[in-house]
Amino acid sequence: MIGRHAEIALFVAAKRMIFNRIVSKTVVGNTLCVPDDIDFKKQRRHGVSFYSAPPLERYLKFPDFRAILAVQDGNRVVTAIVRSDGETFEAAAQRWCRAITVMHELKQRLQQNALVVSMPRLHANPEGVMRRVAAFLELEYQPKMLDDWQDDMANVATDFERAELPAFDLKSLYPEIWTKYLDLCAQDAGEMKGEN
Amino acid sequence: MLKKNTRRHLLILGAPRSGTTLLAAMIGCHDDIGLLVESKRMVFTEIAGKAVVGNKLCVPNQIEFEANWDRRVSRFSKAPLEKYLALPNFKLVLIVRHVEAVASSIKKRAGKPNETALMYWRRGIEIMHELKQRLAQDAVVIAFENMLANPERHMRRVTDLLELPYQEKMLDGYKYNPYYREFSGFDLSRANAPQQTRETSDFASKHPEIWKKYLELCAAGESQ
Repeated sequence: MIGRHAEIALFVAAKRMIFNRIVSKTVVGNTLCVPDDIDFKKQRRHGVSFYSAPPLERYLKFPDFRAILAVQDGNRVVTAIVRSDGETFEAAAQRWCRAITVMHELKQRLQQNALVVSMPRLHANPEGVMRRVAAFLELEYQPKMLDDWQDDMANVATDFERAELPAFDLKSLYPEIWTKYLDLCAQDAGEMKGEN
Repeated sequence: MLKKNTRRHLLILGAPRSGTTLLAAMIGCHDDIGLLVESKRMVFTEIAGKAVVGNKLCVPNQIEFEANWDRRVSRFSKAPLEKYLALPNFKLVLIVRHVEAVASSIKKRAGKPNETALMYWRRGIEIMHELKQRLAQDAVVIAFENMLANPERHMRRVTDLLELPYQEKMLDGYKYNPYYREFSGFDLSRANAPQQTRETSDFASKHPEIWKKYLELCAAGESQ
């Protein structure tokens, strides 16, 4: 959706910081999953002899750097990972917990240069969220950002539909992380409210 | 006509110092195009949300028909053209410039000897000529000098090739040239170079076969 904006060119899961080779766009960037693709420090992958994407610390050094943080209910995320990827509950929960921890820290460090987007809110009000994204990047909103957004969300929706009945309760298992998740959601809600 | 959601893969090629970066900056201004400059890896396929994604490379120093293994650094030093040619909906934009202007610029800007500059140009023309023959209507040739003289006409040819609407903002591309941000517009004095020297070039008499290919590429650019 964001990549459809005329002034933006966005990579999906590029392991290298190649986006600075994109020409003639006001905003260039990358989309990465945390912590699978990126973390504060470079990760060695499960003993395999290659490393993950360049660490977040390198991104943070970019001039005029902005981060958009997408958050989703941990119970749904973990259920979807377990059912789709066949991972154990513990591994899936650790991934979500780490993602929330990293994004919470990023929001604290970047303040106004980080925008939290809650995925349920994106589903419910895609235009409102895209308007916020455009404003955050100091660009005009463009209706083409909503072109085919149902298709964009289809894969995500399919995963979460399968995960309709979360079998886990991360709130009680990881109360500190859950508090951070709620904190991020509250910031999203607050920013949304402030603009309306 | 391609379907609305059919993604096109674009490669912009030219010999070094032929205006490849200026051309890429102009094309990259289009709303529906996401373009890299000089990426040795084919990562542009990972750009999201654009109808056309692509890369700009200089030929032959950055790309050849086959990848070259560089023993000194244990990696491929050039991208393989054949991998690009295998992409679905592949489109090619070739830019050619007069040999003397290219050689002079390579010597001046890159500090390379005349022989190297001529070798680049010669091999670049050979490869581009073969590509134009293989791709036919999926390749557009632009003469650098003609692009300066009439940029709109050539941007319209590019958008026709890519099945996109023409956008006037493409003419502002010189502002986004990553190597020459100080440019304030097109240097029309360079637009006349080929007419002055095309017939008198020493290179033409020494390498008539390559020169013929160059002229054929120029003719393809004018006739399309």
